Amino acid sequence: MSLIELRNISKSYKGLTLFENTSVSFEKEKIYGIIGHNGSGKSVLFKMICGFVFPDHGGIFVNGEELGKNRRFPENFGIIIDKPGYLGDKTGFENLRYLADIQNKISDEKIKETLEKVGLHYTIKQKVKDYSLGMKQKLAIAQAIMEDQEVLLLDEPFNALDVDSVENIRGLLKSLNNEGKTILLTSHNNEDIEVLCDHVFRIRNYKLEQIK
Amino acid sequence: MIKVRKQVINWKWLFAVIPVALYAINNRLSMQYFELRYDVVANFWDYVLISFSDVYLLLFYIFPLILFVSTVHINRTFDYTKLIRLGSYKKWIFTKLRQLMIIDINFLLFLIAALLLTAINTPFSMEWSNVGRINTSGNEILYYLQQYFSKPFLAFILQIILLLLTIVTFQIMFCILYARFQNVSLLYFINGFMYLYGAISFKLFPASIKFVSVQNYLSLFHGVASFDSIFIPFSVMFVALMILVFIANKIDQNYKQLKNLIKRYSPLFLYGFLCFMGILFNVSNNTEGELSVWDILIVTFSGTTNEMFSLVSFVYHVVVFMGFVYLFQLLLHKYLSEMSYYMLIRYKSMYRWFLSWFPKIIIGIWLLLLTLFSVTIFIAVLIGYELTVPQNLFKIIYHFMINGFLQLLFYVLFVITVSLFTKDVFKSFITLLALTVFMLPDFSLYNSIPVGLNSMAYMLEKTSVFLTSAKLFGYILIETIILLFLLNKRDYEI
Amino acid sequence: MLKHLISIELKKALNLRFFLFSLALILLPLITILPIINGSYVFHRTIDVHEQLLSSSPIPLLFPLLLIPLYAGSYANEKKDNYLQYVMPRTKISDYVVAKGISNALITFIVAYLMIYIPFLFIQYIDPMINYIYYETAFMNPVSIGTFEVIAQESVHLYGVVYSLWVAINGVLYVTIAYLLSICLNNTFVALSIPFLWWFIIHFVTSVLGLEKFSPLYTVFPFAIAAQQFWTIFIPFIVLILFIVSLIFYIKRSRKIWEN
Ligand SMILES: Nc1ncnc2c1ncn2[C@@H]1O[C@H](COP(=O)(O)OP(=O)(O)O)[C@@H](O)[C@H]1O
Ligand SMILES: [Mg+2]
Repeated sequence: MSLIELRNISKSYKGLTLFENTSVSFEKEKIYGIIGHNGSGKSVLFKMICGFVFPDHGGIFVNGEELGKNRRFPENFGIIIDKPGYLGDKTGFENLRYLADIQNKISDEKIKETLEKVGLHYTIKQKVKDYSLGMKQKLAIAQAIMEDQEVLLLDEPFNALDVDSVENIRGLLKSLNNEGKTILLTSHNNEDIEVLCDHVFRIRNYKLEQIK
Repeated sequence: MIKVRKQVINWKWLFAVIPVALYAINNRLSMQYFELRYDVVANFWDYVLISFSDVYLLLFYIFPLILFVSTVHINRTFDYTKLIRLGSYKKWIFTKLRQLMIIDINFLLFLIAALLLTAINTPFSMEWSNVGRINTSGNEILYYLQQYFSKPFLAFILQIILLLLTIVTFQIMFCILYARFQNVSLLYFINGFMYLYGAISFKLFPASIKFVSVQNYLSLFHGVASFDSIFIPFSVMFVALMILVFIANKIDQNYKQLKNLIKRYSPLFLYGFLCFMGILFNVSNNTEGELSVWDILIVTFSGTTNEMFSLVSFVYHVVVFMGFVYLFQLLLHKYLSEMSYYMLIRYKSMYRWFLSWFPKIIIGIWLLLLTLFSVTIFIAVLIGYELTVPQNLFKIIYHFMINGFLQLLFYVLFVITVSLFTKDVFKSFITLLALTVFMLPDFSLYNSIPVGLNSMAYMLEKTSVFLTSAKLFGYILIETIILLFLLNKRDYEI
Repeated sequence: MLKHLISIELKKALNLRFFLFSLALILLPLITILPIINGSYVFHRTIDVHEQLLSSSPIPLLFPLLLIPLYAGSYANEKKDNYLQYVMPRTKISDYVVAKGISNALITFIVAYLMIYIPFLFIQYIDPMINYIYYETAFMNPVSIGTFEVIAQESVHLYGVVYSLWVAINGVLYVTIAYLLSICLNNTFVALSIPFLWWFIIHFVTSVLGLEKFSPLYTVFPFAIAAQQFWTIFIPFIVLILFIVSLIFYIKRSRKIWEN
């Protein structure tokens, strides 16, 4: 059974068609890359897989269970979609703490560890609204991986990161994959995709076509 | 259409007027006691008019019945194929209205026949009897009618016209609503609502809200007595009817545009309406005494001072002046949320960005003050206050315009400063309103805080208007410096 | 789960700024206004002092505006900063929104209750020990404190509790409307300011029309108006509840939470 399966998906926004009767499946423990020009629907694809938006036709199955039957989001997904999110007037650590509290699975230690991993110091006392875009992006990655999520949906995870950080995050994703995580990512940078991904899909003619 | 025309007389209405006839007979019987008690003799028209003008009968039977019948008719005869033949909703509405008018006339014919018949065989005269002269509870209808109308027949005709006018107004409203929403439940809801509302407006509303009391437009005597004018009930209904006819004419046009327009200007309309309401309230509340229009200006915008505080004038002052600032804040919120580095770079500096819209605000302030001034004076003159020139006329105008301007300018600059500093317009909303605390009597701190200093009540005290200007000017200067500093120095982040 | 989410929300809300702000709301009237009114008004009973304290303070005029900054805007901020997308995979967003609403209501309830009750406690129980407030004892001519006088006739303590509850519940309704509006409307500024506009404008309109017994201000703080029949205070109350119900209905129908 595929981990994530899209069956005959169609999606359009007010006359703008993004997907038309497209099917694709993603297997466990692989890294997938999705490419496509701006506005081709990469973010929308991820939103559909997360259950944030519904396809007009067709269904999305995660672990064999159809999403949206009762508007449930898939379990144990770590996500970044579009721009990073945050609580503006809290510190980075507090941001992660509040998110972790919801499921209460991990300790403060784990959070600090994750922050170090993505290259943010947990002692930074700045409020997140004053973070630079790259720092916010790192925080976004941290929240996506801190709870050992099985599946990572990362929309442009390397946005706004400096060269060293890109290297660091690439390594991080590799090692997560080695631990058995499934990763879906989009990027406009071909190098990222080439270095990291086992399989690559391109969005063209409203379909996902596999090119690797 | 042909079918409707054929049955010009619909005998079903005969049954509908039976309760009216019984009610009229009952009235006729009780008149006997009245005649005996006051030693008067009622004539034919007395009998007709007391039943025809009876609020209970109109409000709880005749009016709801005809609305209900209209609703049923509209719903039953609605048909898309006909609509397509007619070509537009507008034509459909006016066709329906014609059909409904035929129903109305039918009903009224039977109603009038019933009233005339039950009054038959009583002393006939075309003049008022002396029953109407008796001013006692239970005899309001005839008492007021004979006061306002020279002949009973005139009252009778005008009662018919008023009733018909109101019914037609509601019918056209129903047609418009049905054309727009095609939902009969909405009409039934309005039916039920009007019944309840009628009861409430009749029993509970104080006299001050006579304009929205249904009975004033159904029963001639009630309307005329409430407004103290024959003219007003008719003209209010007529204006309403004309507005609805206008809407019916426009109904086939694009709603989206209209909706957007309404959405965009609704805060402005609401604000204007509230200001106007306050002016009307003050103008109509001070009719006693020999006041001049200038006194009215002072009373209306009196606001508060150390010595004088009334909650109503405080609240009105806040509604007018802070209300204006709120409209400005809506605009500011838009400017700030649309602002981006890309935009700023094109303006070259924050300062230029600021100047690109600020002059408009200044003009807005002047427009507001001029409008408030002229509308108040105009209404006051219209109502009949004296136009005498007082000694301190210059000071009054100066205080209203110049100090009003400076005060509003202070508010606006204050709001801009706080909003830029906190990047949150809502915070400026809170702080500005919190400042109004200093208008309360225990907190005014010798008028040192520049809030509500343009209160016209200062005209009744010894405070110098020029000192007030100087104070406000000083504060504005400080604000400008802070604002310039903010715009120039602060590393701006969005 | 809901309880857990509520506890997280409370933790998020209870920061230093919040404590300072609520302390100011609770204590400032007592500290600043009591000295002003003490001696300048004639008091016979403790509740007279309490009434005068409230009506001399800006609380009645600004009521919803004082409570909304506590927490009502938090959803709007999290939506704006895209935080909600991280919440969605972790819990049911509808639970999250409900938990936020409940926390907001809870916080407001406590602060609003204390805002009325702490001054009452001070005046009723602490002051008799220190005799700070000056009471007129030479002649007794108590003036009614308004609509709630009937309860005070029963028991003064009951009055303190019931009246504080009444204010607190009304506060909850106003902040809940602000919260729900911040979900419905994209313009946060408008959403958060509407409850206050309602409070103030309806007060103005009812005053002008001679219906002030139904004014929101006079039904929550019925001091500057002659005692009214008790049912009158429930009219604006019911209007608010109807408004809340229709907002909730609208949010459910339009799935506002998910499609932001
Ligand atoms: N909620 C929405 N309403 C209307 N159009 C949308 C919405 N979300 C996305 N779109 C449109 O769908 C297209 C694809 O968006 P997106 O997936 O974000 O592009 P990208 O592939 O660059 O990530 C864009 O043209 C965008 O305007
Ligand atoms: Mg994208």
